[in-house]
Amino acid sequence: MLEIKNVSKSFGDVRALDKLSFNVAEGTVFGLVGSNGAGKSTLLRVINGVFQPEDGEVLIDGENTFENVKAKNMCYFIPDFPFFYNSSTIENTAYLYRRIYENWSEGYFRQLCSMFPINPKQKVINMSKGMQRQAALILALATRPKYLFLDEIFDGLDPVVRQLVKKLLITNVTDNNMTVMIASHNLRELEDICDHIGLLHRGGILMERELDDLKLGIHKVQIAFNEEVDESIFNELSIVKLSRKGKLYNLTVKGDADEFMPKIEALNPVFLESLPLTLEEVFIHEMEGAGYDISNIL
Amino acid sequence: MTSATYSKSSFKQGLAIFWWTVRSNMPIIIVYLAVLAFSSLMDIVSTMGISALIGVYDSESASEMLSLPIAAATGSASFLGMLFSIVAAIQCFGYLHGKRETDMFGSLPVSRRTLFFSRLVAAIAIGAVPMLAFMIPLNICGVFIGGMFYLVEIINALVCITANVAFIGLLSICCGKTSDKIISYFTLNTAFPVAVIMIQIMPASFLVGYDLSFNKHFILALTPLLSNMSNMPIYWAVFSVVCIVLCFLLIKRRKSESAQSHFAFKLPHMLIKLLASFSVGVVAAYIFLLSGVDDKYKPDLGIEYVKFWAGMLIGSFVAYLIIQIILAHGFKGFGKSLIIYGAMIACFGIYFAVLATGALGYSSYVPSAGSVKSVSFTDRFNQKLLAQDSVDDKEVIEGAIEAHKQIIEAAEKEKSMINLSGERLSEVIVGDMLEFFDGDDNSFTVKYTLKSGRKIKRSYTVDKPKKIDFLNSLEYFENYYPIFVYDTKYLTGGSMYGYIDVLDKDEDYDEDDDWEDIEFDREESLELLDTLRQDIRKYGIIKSNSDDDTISVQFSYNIEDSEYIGGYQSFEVPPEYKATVQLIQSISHKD
Repeated sequence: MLEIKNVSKSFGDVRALDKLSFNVAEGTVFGLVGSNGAGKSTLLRVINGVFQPEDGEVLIDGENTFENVKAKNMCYFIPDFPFFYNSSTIENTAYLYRRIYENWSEGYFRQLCSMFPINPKQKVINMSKGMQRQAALILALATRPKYLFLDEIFDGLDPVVRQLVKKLLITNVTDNNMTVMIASHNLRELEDICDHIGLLHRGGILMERELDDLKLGIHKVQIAFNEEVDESIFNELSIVKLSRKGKLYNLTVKGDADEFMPKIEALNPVFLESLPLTLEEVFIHEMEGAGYDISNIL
Repeated sequence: MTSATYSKSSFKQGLAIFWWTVRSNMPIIIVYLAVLAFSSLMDIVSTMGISALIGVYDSESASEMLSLPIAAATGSASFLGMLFSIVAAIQCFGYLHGKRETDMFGSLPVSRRTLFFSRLVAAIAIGAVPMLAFMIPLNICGVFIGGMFYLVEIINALVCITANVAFIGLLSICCGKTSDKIISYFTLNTAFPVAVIMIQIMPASFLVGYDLSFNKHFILALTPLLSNMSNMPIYWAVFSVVCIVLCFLLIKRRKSESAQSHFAFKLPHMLIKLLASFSVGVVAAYIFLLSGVDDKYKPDLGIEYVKFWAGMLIGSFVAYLIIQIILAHGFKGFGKSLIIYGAMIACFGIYFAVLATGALGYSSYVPSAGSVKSVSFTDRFNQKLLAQDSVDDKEVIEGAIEAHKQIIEAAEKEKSMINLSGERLSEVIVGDMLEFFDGDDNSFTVKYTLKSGRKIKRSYTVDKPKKIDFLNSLEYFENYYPIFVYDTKYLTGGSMYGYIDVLDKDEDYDEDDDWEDIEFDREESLELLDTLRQDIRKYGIIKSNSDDDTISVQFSYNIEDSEYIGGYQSFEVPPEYKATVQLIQSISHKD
């Protein structure tokens, strides 16, 4: 299990992480979302021992990760801009990793090289952004990490490779009980793959929940009446947002649909439809609730 | 399934990183090998060509013929080794300075120390191994030709490479960016020696009698770039160890977020700024001081002080501002850091004040006769070489002290900050750096050994002062002049030249025909020396204003097994030394 306990990290006057605490269970895919500068990348760096937290600790299977070779051997981190030397190829980088990582799998490495449309002897620096990410992912998976940390991994990948990446991650999670943490702004992709979501804002965790709970806890409801009605009739509902176009009402309602739908049906609408929110919509609502000035941005 | 244990040792990890680093730097190694091959070939061909041209091959043995090309190729390989090790070190420690590199290396399951020292060893190996591939065969030949010197050369080259790599490693830990590291390396390598030289020069501008000399070790203390030329392998070995220990201690304390950002540690940042600022300031102070100085210059200490301080303040502040903009990429923290700048100027002001007020009596100090055990007194206007460095005769000591006071009086009258000629300065710097100059080329040099064991040395570069009795006294000659002091058992012969037969000014002489150049044997030398000593005792030292009425006599000594330092001693015989002149003429006629 990954335990983040009261972690703080500052850069000068900027508080990047502020007493952050949450846990990630083994064998899950955890999506880390948040506004720009929320502290997602900093958190990944702290978890992987790149940065030392000023306060608190990060434990992987009970071991502190900073300067801990044993704990770091179980992890692999692909940052938003993976680093390769000018002369690096996948092959010569693998030369280092197979001597450093205890669980390096040569067979799996060869298999991955054949799965991705990429030449392992080509200089990585000459590859496109998406191919560089593929190269990084091949090397990462070949180390057979127990914990894989990915920062904006879908950025630059074509749809086919995105599907391949998701498939590989899910296979590793199900077959090897691998834990994956993905920081991304691409909520559509996270929605497909994550089973947990953590929302970071200003260095703190705004909420951390199972994706299904998150999506089922808030709904978009469209209601139409024969005649205009007083909005106060919705007072019994936990409404986050209400908009009206003539006799058509759009509501964003918090809570269990099984509970609030009978109450709406009792108002005798001529049309009623309830849809779960997309992750992107949930994100916007939550951020708005946290004081993010969305009306000015959107 | 992922293993939760880790069995790879730090050594195995280090080895993996070492080899991977070497492989990653293969392009540099290939270029390095090509440059080495080319330069070695050029050195051998060119030195053999020059040797043939100047005729070395006609006179020297085969081994001596080979030593020149080997020495040249060895020197080039050693220099290139150091140069490429600097390039390799900058490259190898770059992982500390890029955010992307930091992400990769910081997340590897390797401790920071293992990672750093694997890269350090790799940088040394990249610099050393190709160099050794060329040096070892050459120097093995060299050992057979010129002895163990060539083996020491290899060790020296290796130590220089290690010193540079370790120093760059230390700077890499302290700096946030590769550009800062390079700037810091070259700033320290230039600003530090300049600052030390200027600190050592300054007393000579203020203190009458200050014996200017340079401490090479101090000047080069933070200058590994010149380690190759310094011939101080033991110092550089110690320097390397100190740098490595500091690296060991600091690498774990370095914050990764310093990458591509600010200095990881403030002290080196401040030190570099102060050193650059100070050295530029003092150099500017001397440039201001020397402005407007020509042959008609009349010293005015007040004006000199103002010019000096104007240069110091303008030069140091401009340098401080520029280095701040370069290293801090703007003015962030500039205001606060001015306190440190102010402290440096204040410290310099105290140093200036101490020197300007005579350094607590340094200039005027002359020991009492009772406290002096022995004295040495060199008068460069008359005698280039002292026969002995220590005379304990009471009359000589008293005479020397009196003469010393007269010289101080004369020197104080001429006092100016501009009393150090460029020629004198270059003599001392070059001489001290190359270790062949004894720093005694002043007008007068007095060395006291006190009864307490303390040694005092004062040197004066003044115009010839009024007649100083002691320097014309018999005591001075009998105690310091080689013709009096040297034991005659070492005398082998002599020679003389001049217008020997026409010393009588009534006679006409022919400039060409009457000039004589005669050699004489040991017996004649002994007789001549004895007669000359008697004439000196009888008439004292007489200096003639004309070369025409003097005869130059030169005595030859075989000093190989003696404590003496000059084998040929000359003396100008004036016509007043009648007995000596007659003897010279009789020897001349006999021949």
